[in-house]
Amino acid sequence: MSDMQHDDRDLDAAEYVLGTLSPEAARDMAERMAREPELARAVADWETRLARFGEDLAPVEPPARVWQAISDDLSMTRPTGRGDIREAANDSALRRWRIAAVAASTAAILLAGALWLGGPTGGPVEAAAQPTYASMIYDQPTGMSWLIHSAGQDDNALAVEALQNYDVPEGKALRMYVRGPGGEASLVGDLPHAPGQYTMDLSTSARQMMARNSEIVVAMEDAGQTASQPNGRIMWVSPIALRRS
Amino acid sequence: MAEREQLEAWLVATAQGDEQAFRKLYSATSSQLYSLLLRILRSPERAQDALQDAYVRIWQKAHTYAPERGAPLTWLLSIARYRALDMLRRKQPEVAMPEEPDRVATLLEDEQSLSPLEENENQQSLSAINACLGDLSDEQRQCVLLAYYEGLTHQELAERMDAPLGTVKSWIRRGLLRLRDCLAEEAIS
Repeated sequence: MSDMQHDDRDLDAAEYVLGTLSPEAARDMAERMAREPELARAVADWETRLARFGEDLAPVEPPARVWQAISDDLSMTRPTGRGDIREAANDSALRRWRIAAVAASTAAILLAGALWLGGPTGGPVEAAAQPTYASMIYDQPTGMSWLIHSAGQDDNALAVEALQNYDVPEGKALRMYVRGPGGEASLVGDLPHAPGQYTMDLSTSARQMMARNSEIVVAMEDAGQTASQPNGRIMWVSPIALRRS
Repeated sequence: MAEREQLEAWLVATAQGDEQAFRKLYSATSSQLYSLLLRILRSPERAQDALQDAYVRIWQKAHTYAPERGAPLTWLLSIARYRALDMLRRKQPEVAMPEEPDRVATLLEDEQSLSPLEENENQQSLSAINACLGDLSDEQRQCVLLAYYEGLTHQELAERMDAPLGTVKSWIRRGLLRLRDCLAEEAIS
């Protein structure tokens, strides 16, 4: 690699860390990092260099309530857990979600596994010709569940089944994303919250992301706003199981 | 601030589900992360939200920390800063914050007087970054600091600096190269 190419790669890494890249370029970088160890190393080096700016600031003690909120979350999640959920601490309209907010539980994983294996009868199932996906979102306090899996062999869509009704505050929407291992995300759309079966289109980037070690993220967001990445309160995170033929 | 080895030990224990270790990690580092989040988000409420998000993620992802890739505080600050950038990118503040035209100058002044430096190694590091900032042109320095502390994109920087987009991109990239090379020289000397 020439010095110029090396500089270009290093500067890409620097701007990724600095945050000046466009969302598309940042997603590309995250994907490249997964397959280019030298680029990942360059990013880590720049994180170290630029973190000095953060280390240089005078410490400011956060209010005690922040730890209390974190501590509440810890009671519902484990370090090796597959998801977390948070509640808006200062939004009374969402306050009850703190209680309701729970990561995908073991039951969810087991149910996702059952879905994966073809259902509780456990009979052999014919493997699809293309990668297929399965996931499940489970809200423990309310028992609300969504079953999510590939809608067809081309995987251009997801089949979503909402098992119950789930109340969403007025002006808000449950927005579903696919999030890759590097933290990059791709919007799928608004998650239906009335009982029924639905089909949601998958973008190319979301489909590509699902082929890797990714997860479903659902955030509570303002209904009038759309973004390619979660912005509001993350309600549930659930792993995506992948089967290859 | 606790020593690097201590932070690493707490991170390892956190990865194993040790809530006490996580509490100690939080006590030792949260004020630094919160300070950075306040600078970036310019709202205590949003900074506290981001801090909460960051530590929940740290709790869940502690097992992915790799000491050979950087110091624990670097990793923690990066998680917090990426979260803050994510919040900035996805939603503008509901109430616009007053503009602070001399913010970068203030930042630089603050950097001279802030930070009770508790470790000699850290002191050297901070001196190095400040010395190297002085090596950049005014425009390069402002762009890098505005991007770091306020999360401005290329376009936003161009508007803030009242300069063409291409010029701003060039300032950033040249400034970053100069910063990298200067820090490397400082490390050698």
